[in-house]
Parts: sequence; C-alpha cells; structure tokens
Amino acid sequence: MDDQSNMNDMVTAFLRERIAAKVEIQPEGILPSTKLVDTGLQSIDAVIVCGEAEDEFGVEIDPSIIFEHDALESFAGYIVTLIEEKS
Amino acid sequence: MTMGHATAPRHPAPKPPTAQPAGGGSLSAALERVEAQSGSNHPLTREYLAWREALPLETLNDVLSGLAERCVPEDVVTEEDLAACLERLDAADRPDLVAEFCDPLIGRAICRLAGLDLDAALPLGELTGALAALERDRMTSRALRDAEAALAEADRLAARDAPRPAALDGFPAEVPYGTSLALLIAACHAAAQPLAAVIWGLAISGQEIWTAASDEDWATQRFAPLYDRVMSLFRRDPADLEDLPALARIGDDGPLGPHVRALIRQAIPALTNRFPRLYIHRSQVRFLDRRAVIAPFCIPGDAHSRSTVTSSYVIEIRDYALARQIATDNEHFENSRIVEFFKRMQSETQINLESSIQLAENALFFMVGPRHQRSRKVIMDILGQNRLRAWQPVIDQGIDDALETLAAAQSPDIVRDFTEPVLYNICKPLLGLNPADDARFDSVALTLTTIQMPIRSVKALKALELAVHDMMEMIETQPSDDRPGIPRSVLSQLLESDLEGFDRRDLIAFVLVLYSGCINIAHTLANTICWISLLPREMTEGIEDPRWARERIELIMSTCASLNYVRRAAQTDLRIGGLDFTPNHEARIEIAAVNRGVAAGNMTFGHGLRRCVGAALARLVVRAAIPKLYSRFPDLEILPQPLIYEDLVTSTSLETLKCWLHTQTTDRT
Repeated sequence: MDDQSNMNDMVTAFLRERIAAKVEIQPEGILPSTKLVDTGLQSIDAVIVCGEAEDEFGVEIDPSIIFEHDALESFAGYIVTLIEEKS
Repeated sequence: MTMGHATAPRHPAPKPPTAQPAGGGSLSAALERVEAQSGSNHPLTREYLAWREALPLETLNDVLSGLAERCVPEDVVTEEDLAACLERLDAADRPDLVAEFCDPLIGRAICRLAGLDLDAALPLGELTGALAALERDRMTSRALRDAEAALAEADRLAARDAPRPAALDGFPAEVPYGTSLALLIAACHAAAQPLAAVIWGLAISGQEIWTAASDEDWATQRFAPLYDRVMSLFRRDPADLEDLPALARIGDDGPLGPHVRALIRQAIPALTNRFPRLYIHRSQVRFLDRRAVIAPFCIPGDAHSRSTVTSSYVIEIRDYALARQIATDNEHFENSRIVEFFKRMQSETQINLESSIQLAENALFFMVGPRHQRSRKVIMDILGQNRLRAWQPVIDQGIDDALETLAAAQSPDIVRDFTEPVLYNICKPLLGLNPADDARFDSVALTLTTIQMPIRSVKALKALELAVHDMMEMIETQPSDDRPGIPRSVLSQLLESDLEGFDRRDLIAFVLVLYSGCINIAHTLANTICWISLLPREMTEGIEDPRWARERIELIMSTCASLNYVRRAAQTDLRIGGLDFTPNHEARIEIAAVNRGVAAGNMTFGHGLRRCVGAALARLVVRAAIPKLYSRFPDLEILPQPLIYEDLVTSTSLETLKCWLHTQTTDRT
C-alpha cells in the first residue's frame, strides 16, 4: 500500500506540473481535488499532457479518458492502475 | 449450434474441429519466473498453484459430488441471495455484471453448497476474482498482491471455522485447510461460468429476447434451448483438454451441472425483471478461455439506460427521445471540431498532419454550411436507394465471390474469409478505389475508422497521418477505376460533377471517408452472424429466403450495428432532458442503449441533416448477404472460441469468428 501511495503522489505531482504549464497557472493552484474543467484544460492540452505522461511512466493512455475523470486525483489514480497492470 | 435449415437429407457430419485452447503452460512455473526476476515472495499463491496442478480430476470430482449431494439444486440460491446481488448491481457505478452480480451470487451459492457462513460470501467473491486473474496468466504485481491477500483471507476463514467443514473431506489430508477452501472455490466458480455466458448471450440478443426472459415460463420453456445455444459457442470438447490440470478441465457438465443450471434458471428472470433496460458494452466484454468453458470475465454495462453526466466534459445519452432530439438539433449542437483540433495539434507539436487535416475537412460529418449542403446533395444523388439498384449485380457478385473465398478456406473464419471480402468486393469498385497494392491498402484502412474520435494520442495521430497519406497516394496513383460492365464509380462521378469547393485531392479524401464508413458494413455483418447463432431456432426458420432478412433489416441494424457512439458538441448552455449542458460538454449518444427495443427509427445511422449517406448501401449489402450465406451453408456452425473485439473505441468489431461450414470438402482442422 505504501508503494501504491508513493506512486499516486508521484503521478499526481507530475500531472499537476504539466497541466499547470499548459493552462499557465501556478502548480500550487491545482489540488488533487481540483476539477480539470476548472483549470481550463482543453482537448489539445489533454493530448499533450497524456503524451508526456506516456513517456514518463511507460504506459499507453487514451487521452479521451481524461475527460471521464472530473478531478485530478481520479485521473492520477487511473494512470497508477495502468502502471500497476503493466508491471 | 447448427442452423439445420437444409431440406435435403444431410450426410453424416464429421466431428467438427474446435478452435484449440490457448497454451496451458504451468502457472507455478510462471510464478517461479516472476518471483526470481522481481525478488518477490508469494508463499500462499505458490502453494495454491502447486496443489492446483497436482490434484487429479477424480479427487476434484469427488469433492464436487460431495457438495452436490449436500444441496438440492433448487436450494443453491435463495431469494435473499438474489435480492442482495441485485441491490449490489443497482448501486454500482459503471457496473461490471460479472464482478457486481455473477461472482457475488456464485460466492453465496458456494457458501450454501459447502456449508459456510454467508458472511464468507463477500471475501469468497473477491477470492474468485483474484484467482481468476491468475488463471488469465497475468502475473502482474497487482494480480499477485490481490491473490496473496485473498488466499490469506481464505486462511483466516479456515482458521475461524472449527471443525473443518465436511465439504472439504475429499481433499487429501496434507492439503492445508485454506488451500483446500481456495481450490474448492475455484472449482465451483469454474463450473458456474455459464451464468455469465448466458447473461451475455441474452444481452446481445436484443430487447425482445431479454424481455422474454422475465416471463414466468422462461425457466421451463426457453431456458434449456438458450443454454444449449450459448454453451455450443463456449464449451470445448473434453478430448481436447486431457493434458491440462484438473481445475482447467472443470466444466458445466460435471457433478455441479444441475446446480449451475438451477442457479441460472432462478437468476436470469430476477435480473431481467429488475433491470428491463439493461444493456452491455459489447466490444468491452472480455472472455476468459477457461479451457473447458469459455466465459466472459468482464461484462461492462449499464443497468438502467439512464442518461447521465459522466464528467464536466461528457454527458452520456441513453434515452432514445433525447438522442433523437440532440441528433437533429443543429442550432445547439454540432459534430466535433476535428479540423480545428488537428490544425492546433500540428501548430503546437510541429507534427505534420496535412493529410489528416485534408481528410477531416472533406469528411461529410464534420462539414458545415454550403459546402456540406452541396456535397451531401451530390452524394445522395449517387448513393440514394433508387440509384443503388444499378449496383445490385455488383453486390450480388461480390457476395458470391466472398462465399467462394469462405468455402475455399482451410480454417474458415467469417471475418477474414467472408465479411471483409464482401467489403472489398463491393465497396471498392462502388467508390472507385482501385489501389495497385490492395493488401497494403486494406492493412491501413482500419485506421481510418478512428477519424470520428474527438481526440486521440500523439501516437495515434501519427499513425492516422501515415495511414491517410499512404492511402491518398495510392488512390492518386491508382490505375483507372473504370471497370467494364459496372456503373461508374462514386469517385468518377464526383470528379465529373465539378463540385464547387473541391479539388481532386479533396474528392479523393471525401471518398476515403466514405470508405471508412463502409468498413462498418463488414463489422455489422459479422456481428449479425454472431447474433444469428444465438437466436432461437424458430426465429431463424426461412433464413435462406431473402424475405427473412428483408423483414428484419431494421431489427438487425438496431441490434447488430457496429458503430458505438454518435458524438455531438454542445454550442451553448442549455437544459434538455433534465440535463444541463455547457459548451464544454460532448453529448455521447450510446447507440446500443438508445436502440434497445427500437427497430424502425433506430439511431444507428442518425437522423436528419447528419443522417449517414451510406445507410441504404449498408442495408442492401446485409439484406443480400444473409440469405446467400445461409443458402450456401445451411448448417454453418460458429466454433467454440473466446470472442475477441478490435481495440476500437468507435465500433464493435470482431477480430475473428471461426466457423465450420459442415461441407464434405471442409478440412476437419
């Protein structure tokens, strides 16, 4: 469970930084519970962020999935699941 | 299941071949490799797998016979069991019918059979799920962690109960109590797989058959034939299993067979009564090849077919009236802005997407305004129902040629040897596609079907660009598409029409998009043949007569269509159907849901200004193909196999559908 929690934190931090860069706000302004739509994230941003996450974590991510998740932590959890299934 | 429609006396048929089960390599050896590589340690799992592979079939059958004697089949589940599992399914968000209904119910049945307390049912259900993940040969760290935890829970349950339940007496004394419990659970669960298989079979058969399962006489009149039809698709010949471990050979025909069938007879009417509008995501169903019995291990679905706000970006539409309203409301909704998306991606990433942009600009469903109106009028003049009559001889010949391909195949496959040849033989000449390298063209064409996806990964974008560029080049440089004896192709007619706002490359792109739509004809035809294999015999009488398909074409298109979604982007804030849309929202119309119980007027081809221009062609091809197929091969049989769908979000498309033609010239292997 510790490993999983650490992985979750790592993925969340990565996504927060990348999303913040795309939508041009401070990372501290994006909490795990922040709704992605409230950040102003557009579909093209989602594709680029997902591509960066793919490269970082070595998993395949369908960027349309990002819009199935309301909050950052939900999407981060989905990526953690992909990482675990791959290992 | 054979159709049995031949009127002439049938010759004795040789034993049909079965699609061979996947390799049954040792799970113990696989675990050993994983542990050696990762340094991990899973002692309980190791012990379980070792006993799983060492126990003889006779021992397991003796244990199961002991259980069968302890419990009358009709008592294997109670109304309280069913109510509890239905509540669980009702409460689940995005339910998997196996995890939220089948496995919990089987867990309860196992408790009754083995004389365990019912509060063990929940952890037993989780144990079966964890063990099933191992059976899928997926030794991921998560699967092993879950299995080890579940086996520890089995040990805890074992330690709690004293003395050891009589149900486990058949196991050798040296098998640890917790391991015995796990083995018993795994064996019972394997025997009970037909529950998920029958639910799947009912769910894909359409609303009429689903509703009929809630009738009082279903259990006595209709259950047995349905069970036989579904299990003919999913039960392997025991002779093919003799070299596998005992647990892999547990099927529905063992000592617990009567209990499994009693379980299903009770569960199905309860399920269909409680959830009359339940539907499943066909292409997301995953099948486990359990050797003796193939069965779904994951059936994603929706119990209520209610439209819901999925997130701040997506609203899923499952109501027919609302779907129709959204599909025809061009003031407040439009199709996705794919062109804009591609252009921005090209600008931001510097990835060349010129071919994809040209394809999207010339896709009818993304066009707006006068360009859309002009091109739609021209294409409907060519592909409208009356005009297509001139193509009937090409359609008939294309199907006949595909039947020859199927007949000549060593290991006939409906997809590879029939539905794909039907597509190539008819739609390429009709559209004017005559590439010099057909094989290369066909290998990349499937990528085109993703054009409707609103967003996609960078990797998928690059793949699409390569495919489109390649296909455009092939058509630009193709030999003349004029073929003697057939009408002039769509491309030829478009080029001669001097359509304002379209140059030659635009028209080639336009036709390639039409072809991407035609690919759905092949997918729909394969889905239809799979669906037919599950229908009651009385519903398929006369199938070789063209009237059968003609009278049911709307039902077929409603039930078997491959397209999964129609997507519409909201343009403004508005409230309809009790749902609040913003310009962020995509209305995702789930065709399988909105089509439930709808034949004529179904949403498969959309409605109004955006209605699919290929609808008439799709109907003509399917109407002609079905009677020809079953006239030629009246005893066509779908072989036992796990159904594997292409990994496409946009459509439900079988990768393969192996069959046996029951002809004297067909090889047995």
